[in-house]
Amino acid sequence: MARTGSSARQPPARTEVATAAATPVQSADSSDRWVVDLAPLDGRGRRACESIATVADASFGARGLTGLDGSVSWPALFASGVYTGDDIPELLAGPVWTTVKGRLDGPSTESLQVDLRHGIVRHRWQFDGHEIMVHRFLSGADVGVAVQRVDGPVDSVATTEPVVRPGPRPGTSVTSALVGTAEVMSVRDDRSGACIAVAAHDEVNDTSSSRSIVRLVGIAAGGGAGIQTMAADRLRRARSNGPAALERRHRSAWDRRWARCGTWMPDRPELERAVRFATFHLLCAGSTGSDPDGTVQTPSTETAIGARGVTGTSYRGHVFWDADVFVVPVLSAIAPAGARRSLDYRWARLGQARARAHREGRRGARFPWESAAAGTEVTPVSAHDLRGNLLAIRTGELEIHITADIAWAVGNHVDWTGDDEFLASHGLELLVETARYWTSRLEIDQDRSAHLRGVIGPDEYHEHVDDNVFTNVMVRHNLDLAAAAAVRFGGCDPTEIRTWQELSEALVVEPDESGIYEQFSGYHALDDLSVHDIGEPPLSADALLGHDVIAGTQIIKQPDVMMAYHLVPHLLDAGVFERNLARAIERTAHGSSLSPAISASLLFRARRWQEATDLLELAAFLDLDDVTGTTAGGLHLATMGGLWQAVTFGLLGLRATASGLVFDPHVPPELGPIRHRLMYRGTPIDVRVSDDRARVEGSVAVPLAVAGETRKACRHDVRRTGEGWEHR
Amino acid sequence: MSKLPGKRVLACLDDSPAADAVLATATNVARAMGAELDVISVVPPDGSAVRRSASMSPGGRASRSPTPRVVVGPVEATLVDELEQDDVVLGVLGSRALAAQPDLLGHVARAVVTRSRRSLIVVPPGAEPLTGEGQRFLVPLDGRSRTSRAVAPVLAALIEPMGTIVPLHVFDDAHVPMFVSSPHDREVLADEFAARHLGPVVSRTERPRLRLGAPVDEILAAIRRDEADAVVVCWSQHLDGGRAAVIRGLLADGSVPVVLHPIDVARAGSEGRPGSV
Repeated sequence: MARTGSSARQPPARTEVATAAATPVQSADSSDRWVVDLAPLDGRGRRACESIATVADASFGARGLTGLDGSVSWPALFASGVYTGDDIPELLAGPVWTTVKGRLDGPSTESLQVDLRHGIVRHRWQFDGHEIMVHRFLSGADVGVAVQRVDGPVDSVATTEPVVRPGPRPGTSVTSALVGTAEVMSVRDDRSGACIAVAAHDEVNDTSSSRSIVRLVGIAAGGGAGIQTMAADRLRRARSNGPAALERRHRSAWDRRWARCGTWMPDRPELERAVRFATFHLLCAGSTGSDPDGTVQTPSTETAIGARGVTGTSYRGHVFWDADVFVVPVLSAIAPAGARRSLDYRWARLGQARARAHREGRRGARFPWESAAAGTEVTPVSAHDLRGNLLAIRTGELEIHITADIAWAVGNHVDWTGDDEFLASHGLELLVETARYWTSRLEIDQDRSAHLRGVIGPDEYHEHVDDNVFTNVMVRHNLDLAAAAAVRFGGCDPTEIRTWQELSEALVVEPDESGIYEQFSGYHALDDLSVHDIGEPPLSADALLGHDVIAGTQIIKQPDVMMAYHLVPHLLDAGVFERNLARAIERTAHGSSLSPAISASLLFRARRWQEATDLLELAAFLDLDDVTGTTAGGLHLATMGGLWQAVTFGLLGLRATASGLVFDPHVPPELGPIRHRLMYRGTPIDVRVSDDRARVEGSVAVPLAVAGETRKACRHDVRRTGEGWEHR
Repeated sequence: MSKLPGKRVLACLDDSPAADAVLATATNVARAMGAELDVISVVPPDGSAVRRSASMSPGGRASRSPTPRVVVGPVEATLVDELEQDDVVLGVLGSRALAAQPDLLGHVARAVVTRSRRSLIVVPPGAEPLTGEGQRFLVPLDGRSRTSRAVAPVLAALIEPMGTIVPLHVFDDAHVPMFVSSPHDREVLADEFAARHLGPVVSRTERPRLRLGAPVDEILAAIRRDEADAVVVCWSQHLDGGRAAVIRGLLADGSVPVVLHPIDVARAGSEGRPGSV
């Protein structure tokens, strides 16, 4: 795809900020850094742009371009958590309301802008002195309301009724009905009963030479009756408000969202925009018009955040650990209500998770590796690899760390939000039931050591391994969280709590005598290849060497031990962090799109600036540059979440704990000053870091730990001391 | 109703072992396309025997088959000229299989496939003829957009009416895409490949097979694995050199008919990456 403007990644001349802590980032809000400007000239670029220009919220996503020139277009409407009833479900595609019929008389130029500040997509064609402009948004203020305005020559543009593209798929029914005065088109999956309905109304205003078509849209989705009526009601309310008021409300909603978060990197405008683009789509995935402003909770619904959100069909919309470990932690700090909804998606499926554990002869609850509407395991069981071999897919069977990942997300959410109401209710239930699963899943040896055998860690190149460090550490954390919450809120037998504490202690998670954590039992005995023996990462090492061959080497798909350092650093030996990182990076193929950002985060901690920055940029531009060739299938939300985490946890070293924030920046000089904003327990926190000074500031006093010293204040000024930092 | 009224499918018959399959294929393809069948047998001017009549006799089929139009002239040049006629949409001819030189097309077939600008179906000896309906066509694509554009009309006009398109793309080691460990990743990559390279003809297209390895081996393996009835290949009409290895391999394999569609390599080759099919 061609993006207008320079795509160069070379850092421009550094901005000298002698006293950055007191210096506002003057250029940070320049408008071009809030606009992703795309020129979807060729077919490949167009398809990626269709995802990039998705307008979405936590409930709905409308992707696709307007194909005035007859170019191939893949518009679609999806609803979060609304799937087909296939054995392996996928997102149900609803009626497309964005279609525009137009005629370009003569050669035209086309441009596409995504206004990140206000969540508006503008698609424009210019030809022969004329212009057609499509202006579209999905309301950030009014749930299930969208607006599209088309302006152009009177004889050149017309809209169409909502359509279903590329046509109704087998097993679905498309109906059109009059509900009140609204024509409502709906797509219903015959097996799941899930339905997406769209009601649209066009207001056409012609002059002698120009035409303006304003389409107001009501969208609703769900599994019950009355979906069409809900869509019609939303359209009716939209019409009573009118497009101007709807847009004002929408813009205000986005202003409020951005008042809670943001990243500014004045010396790196392209990177700043890429981080903002990621944050924008994370906000889309986690926000709705019904969210309370600024603070937390009381969401009334749940949100299933699929691997590509509602921006495309890839990964069939399934919910993986991508949601709990990569996206939810971001939302906990920038859109807490969205994080809560995603955690409630898990909580609402505890029944299925309990049933699965029971079927396997275990206690508690075991969550599926891939989840859809029902919460059952929907991981495919086999697939052909690139060698044509039919492989068994064992992640659904063995990648059990997902259960502990969900518990981690609960704890992390509470640390950031202080949402004790959630912790005491849904959170506690999640922690307790997952801990109970582990008590029945752990194997206790004669020496009283506890083991998890036959698992898959994040490094999926190695299957059915014993004592995977990541899994064991996450389970230990799960048990610790459950014990702490149960002690605090009661409701559990003290004996059971004691068992969790003992098992946590008994779990095998120790480095060897050289300070290296063996990724799993027997890992060090494998063929010790460097990833560079195969090629330069990122690469698909399993495809190149073959599934069985790669399993016999120490090459790993993505951080595994180091992922534990990323999520729960307090449970691992900080003194051997760098040597473990060095060993792991040498063997990491980055075979997953989740890998670069997390690796960057860790490499920043180790001051390996160039490697860290390269990987950060790979993650930052993964979709904007369609690096994988798969952006058309939807945006890589987890990569975006990893990018935000690399900035927050890696570069800024900012983490939330039960007792406050911890701050330990590791910013390479080449990146220049950074300003970052997020929410901590209902308060916007502004963080500014430059060469030798930093500031953490909120409207209320927050505890901030720097180099082990905690102070509570509204404003913390921090200065560099050698390679560390201290309170001023 | 004829889909291609006034157009001909030209069956080029000689005494090749594949002659029966050539005639059957041409007959069925012409019917599927709604084109007329034209059967030709070229007799060299030096007075070589016309043996075609003998080859048509077995099974009594000759009585129901169209009588070949016998043309006297230099065989290769005459066939190429006949194929170049405006109303000819497709040629069908056989290849020889000699035990000593299994990859040898036969000098007539070699000359025709390398010189004619028309799409051709080459039927190896022993191959089952195309039935013209419900069949599976393996279509290896090299990922170059110009190649895809070149083959699209053939797929739309010839292959779609007769069955299902099974696209195949073979990566070489140097161009394995990133992040394809998950089956979901491979699915979306395959879907993207289809959308970008088969956009106009996706209605009867299966999800592309993505493979890694030696192109010839992977194509031959895919023929077996996907039970392909024929292979459709764009090619530059050069049988020598490394880049024609796929064509030579397919013709030598001889298990299914090969649809050869010539493209201008000078133009098609200027885009995309080399080394993968």
